[in-house]
Amino acid sequence: MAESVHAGASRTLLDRIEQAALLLAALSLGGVVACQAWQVFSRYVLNAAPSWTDPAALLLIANAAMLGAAVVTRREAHFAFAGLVSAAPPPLARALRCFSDATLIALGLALLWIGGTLAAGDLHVAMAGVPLPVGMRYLPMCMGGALIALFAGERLALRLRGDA
Amino acid sequence: MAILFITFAVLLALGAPVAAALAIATFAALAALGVPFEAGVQQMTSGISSISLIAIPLFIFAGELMLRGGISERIIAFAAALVGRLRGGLAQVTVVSSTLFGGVSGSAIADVSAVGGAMIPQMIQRGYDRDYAVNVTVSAALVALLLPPSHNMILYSAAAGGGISITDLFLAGVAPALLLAASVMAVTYVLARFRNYKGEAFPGFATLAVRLVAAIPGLLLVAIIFFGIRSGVFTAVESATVAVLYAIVVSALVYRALRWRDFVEACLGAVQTTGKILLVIAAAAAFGWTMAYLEAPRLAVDWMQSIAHDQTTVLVAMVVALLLLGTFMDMAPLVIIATPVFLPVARAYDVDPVHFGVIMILSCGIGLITPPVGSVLFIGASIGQVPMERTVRGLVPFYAALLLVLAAVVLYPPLSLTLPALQR
Repeated sequence: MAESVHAGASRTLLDRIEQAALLLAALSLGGVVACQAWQVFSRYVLNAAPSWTDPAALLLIANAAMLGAAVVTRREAHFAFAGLVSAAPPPLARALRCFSDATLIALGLALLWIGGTLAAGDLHVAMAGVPLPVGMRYLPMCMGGALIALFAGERLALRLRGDA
Repeated sequence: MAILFITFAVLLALGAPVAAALAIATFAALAALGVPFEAGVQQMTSGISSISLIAIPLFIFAGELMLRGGISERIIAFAAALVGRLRGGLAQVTVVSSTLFGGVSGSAIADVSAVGGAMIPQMIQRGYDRDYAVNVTVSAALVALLLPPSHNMILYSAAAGGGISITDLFLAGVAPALLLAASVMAVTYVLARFRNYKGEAFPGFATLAVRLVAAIPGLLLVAIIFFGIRSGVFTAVESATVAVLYAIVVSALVYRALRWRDFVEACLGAVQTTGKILLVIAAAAAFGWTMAYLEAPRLAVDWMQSIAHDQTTVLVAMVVALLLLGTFMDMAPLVIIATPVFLPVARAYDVDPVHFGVIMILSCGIGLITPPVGSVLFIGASIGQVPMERTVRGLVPFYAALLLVLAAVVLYPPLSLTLPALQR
């Protein structure tokens, strides 16, 4: 009983993290539209080409992509070849799905660790065009990697418990 | 090199997501080569840090908005007045609607969802066989892949290193797209005769004109995108931004069909599709960089030159490979992975990269309606509530038409290259 309450609470927490990731990703996408719209407006109306719009749009799109990829992990909607999984008998199919989750955990942890190292290493180097450190470029990979590992870990745990 | 390709193939076969298979295979190869893993993540980050790639999520977003914003309904109503009286009227309406909507959304998935969602139930209700209704719709949806603003063409340009003009690619797809639409209409007509499906009553020229006027704001989008890029008023990325803003204005203010909830759903749908595609692009960038480090494209060219000596044989071999790969892989990852290997081979045989782009998009696109991995076929079959096996049997005449169009595109380069040449 206590275990199921605990599992329910974790699930609610992960639901909230997923919703926050989706919201942040959608806002980032909106930010990209705003940056590019401002670029066109500035060029034709203000007669000035801002230098920050492209680097800012690139950061925002990386953010939207990696957060979106994390959400897609939780919804099991990544591109994959399902031929063997769908043809396999149920125990083997379950093992293959666990394996698929494990590959995403490995990818997520690699992005978190290596992305974090790269971000920390370039925190004192200034980015061209925007007053931000170059290390910021790796933060979406790092953050997305952490969430991918988290959500894939949840799927793996659910499968091992027989709930998915 | 063996580690790179074998790890990728084994992981993919075991059901690992394409992005994970690409990234893990890359890390395995880097470990074997003694290259630090940081190089892999740097390449992944660079892979999604290309300005031209921003156009992809924005066009996807614009497509999601149009799907929910009443644009497809106006286009279908106009198409019904235009071609509904032909034999198999509702099916012909589906093909024309798909072509017009494809020219606005540039996405086969958005096309089959928007047009199929409206037309397949109507066709079934009017007594058309379910498999016929689904097959017409999924085949016609492929037209969107070749029309501006096809995000798969932008993907091809990015996978090729960004040196291929997106405007040229957009233009190159127009004639093959129209030929494809005409071929699907011809097959639809012949099958309608066999199955004795009648046409609809012509609503009159006044209705046709009214419906055209209602559809024009939506249809204008393709003109704005196209002439905006061509005239140099804005770049491809800026045109995608304009597409998003225009879709919001038309669907929310002109058609008054886009509610807040639809807008939020469009945002969330776009973000997830973006995440799926861009994670594969990131991983494929690292995979491609490792392939280049190992000189895989040069080896592919050498190998092809050792077995084939003329352009046509090489193109046919590559098309067969893409068709086979397309049955197992989704289109976006296939375009991203295959372009860096196949394009150098095509270039070595003096194939124009724009021409090859159209060949690649069409070859990979056919895979979207073939089992076992055909996302457009899945969506169509689920809307029509018809088993996949029954659908595929009925698709044979459509496959034949698509392959004939593909053969024409491969063997007759002016079909693709005349329009880009005219605008230069």
